[in-house]
Amino acid sequence: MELKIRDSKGKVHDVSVDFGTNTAILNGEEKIPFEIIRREQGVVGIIIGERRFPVNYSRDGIRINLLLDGTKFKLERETSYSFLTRAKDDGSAGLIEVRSPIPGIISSINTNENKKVKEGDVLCTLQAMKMENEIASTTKGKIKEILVVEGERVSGDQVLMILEN
Amino acid sequence: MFSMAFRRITPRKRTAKKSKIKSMLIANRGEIALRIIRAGWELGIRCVIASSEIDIDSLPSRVADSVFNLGPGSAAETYLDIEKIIDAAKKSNVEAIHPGYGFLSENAKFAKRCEEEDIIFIGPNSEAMEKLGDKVWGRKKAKELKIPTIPGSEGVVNDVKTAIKVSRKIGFPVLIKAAAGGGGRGMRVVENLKDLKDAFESAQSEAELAFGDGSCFIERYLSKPRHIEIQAMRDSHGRFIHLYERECSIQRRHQKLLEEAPSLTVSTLMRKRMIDSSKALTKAAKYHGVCTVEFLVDGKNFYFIEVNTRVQVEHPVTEKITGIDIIRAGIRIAGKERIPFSQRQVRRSGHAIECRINAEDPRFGFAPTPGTVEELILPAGPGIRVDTHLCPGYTVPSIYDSLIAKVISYGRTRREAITRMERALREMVVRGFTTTAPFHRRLLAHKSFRNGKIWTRFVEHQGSRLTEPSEQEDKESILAGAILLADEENHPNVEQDSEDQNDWNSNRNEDVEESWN
Repeated sequence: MELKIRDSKGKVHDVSVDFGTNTAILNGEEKIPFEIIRREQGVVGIIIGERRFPVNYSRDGIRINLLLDGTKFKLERETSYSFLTRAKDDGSAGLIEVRSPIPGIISSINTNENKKVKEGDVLCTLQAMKMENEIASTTKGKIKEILVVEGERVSGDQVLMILEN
Repeated sequence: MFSMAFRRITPRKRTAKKSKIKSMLIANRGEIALRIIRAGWELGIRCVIASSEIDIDSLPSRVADSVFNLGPGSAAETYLDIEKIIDAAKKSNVEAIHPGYGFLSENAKFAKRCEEEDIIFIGPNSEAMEKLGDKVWGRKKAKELKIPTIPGSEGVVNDVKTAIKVSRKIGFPVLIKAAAGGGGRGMRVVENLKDLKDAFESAQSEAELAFGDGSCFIERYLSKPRHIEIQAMRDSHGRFIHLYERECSIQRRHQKLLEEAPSLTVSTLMRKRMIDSSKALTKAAKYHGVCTVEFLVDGKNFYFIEVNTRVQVEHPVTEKITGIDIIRAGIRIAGKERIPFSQRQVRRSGHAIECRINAEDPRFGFAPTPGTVEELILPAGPGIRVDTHLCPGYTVPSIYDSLIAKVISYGRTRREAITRMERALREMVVRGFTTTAPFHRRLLAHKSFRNGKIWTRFVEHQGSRLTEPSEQEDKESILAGAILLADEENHPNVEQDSEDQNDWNSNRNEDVEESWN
């Protein structure tokens, strides 16, 4: 099976997965053996090459959330309908979702709907474990919609706002 | 199982060396609460834990001889509420209170209240704590005793005008820090005069918020200092014992991440001078209990910073190289016992390292990542000790500290300690949320760390090299993501059809067994 995977830096990688031989090839490099470890609750680990990794895997449309041995990775399957986040890369008009990086409570919202923002502007602050975390815009654009209110408890990766550029 | 129950009911008969203190309340949570219970039991002490509602099911509360429920609410309404803790001690009929670290451990008002209620506070008396806990007093005393201190303001600075005057005199860069503080809050580094006003004002308001006291002081900022601290103890009869030094230069915004003992850079002469300074300071304050005297080392110079009048998170590395149980010692000293050994009997050997595993994401500025432990495998084996309150199914609460485990490795040499730590971190599985374990793996592999070329801003200096996944980790993540996605697409009915899923699960279980054979 051939897949295109976009990493968090926006780079696209070609991966070929073969379940017959349980090997995978990344960007045309050498074949790497793998094995998926399952238990009753589902997938709990994966062996890649010579290493075993505990893993949590979930998918939300084209987005792949991976917690691999203590590190969180956000990947995307590259398809024709992944325009939402690609918009910020090629500069064309599109909608961008602002998501919470971690679970917490929205302690303040620092912008309004229809307001123009530039890269680095603080959109809201998220309180988690006694710390205030500022969520800043990664691009310039206009706030199309704010989906949360101050004091609201949000989960990790929840969509907080929609930006238009 | 039987022996466990037996020990709980009649703890005194189980131990040879009894403590004068027979019962104590542990006014803390997490791994340190568990560590104190362990020390208490070894001394034949009945251990009651004061626990907030959210912590009632946590490991220390499940293990303790009994639990006193402090009710729901934030830390301020539970572990930091002096009267609630005093009330808990009275109702639990205990002789002593162990404050652990953080919370009320360095609160002189609390120590005073214990004295008033005739409860033994495991730590110094309130007077000694007030003196040594006050950085201004410490600095003044150090100067009197000819202990080197960093050039800085004489006493507290309360307004911007004085701040400017002082900074000009000592020269930039300067460091602003809260007089009442600790743990890096209320601290600011200022590179030039232009930024001073804003930085001073924000440090003041942060200190006011965190400690209820906005007083700050200003000092010269050292460019590549190492953080070295002396572990010491002094009994109420005046005997002072030191347990050598620890190096805690691996920090992030003044929060320690990795500690080791001994230090690679401290010479015999410098060590002796640091120890003499520690002895003089604790004597001047008529201190009793365990404590840590912190220094910054810059080349051949060392400067006294402050005394921590409590047990520290990183105490296990010292326990590893000296074989002395610091928690037990603290309890016995509080019971007015004499330290039963001489300085000459304290021997150190080998090297120990501690990695603090936090529920944090180094990629997002070490932001906390509370979550539930879905799978837990703790490392063990030769030279490895793990102090943790984690257990499978445990949810790390978002209202407290994010420290979840301390992995401590010991080896005859630093190299062996590093190898064992790398092995332990490979063995450890904490699945369910992001942790700092990958950060430690990268750090242990880093050439400068291995060569001991570290200083207090090493982590910031290295930046993404330590906090971001390596190229290899990125590759592995892309492969894992693609494989799991492909696997899911290969079996599209898994989630929709429950009958199918059962078949699928039983099939796959065989696969798992096969793969593990």
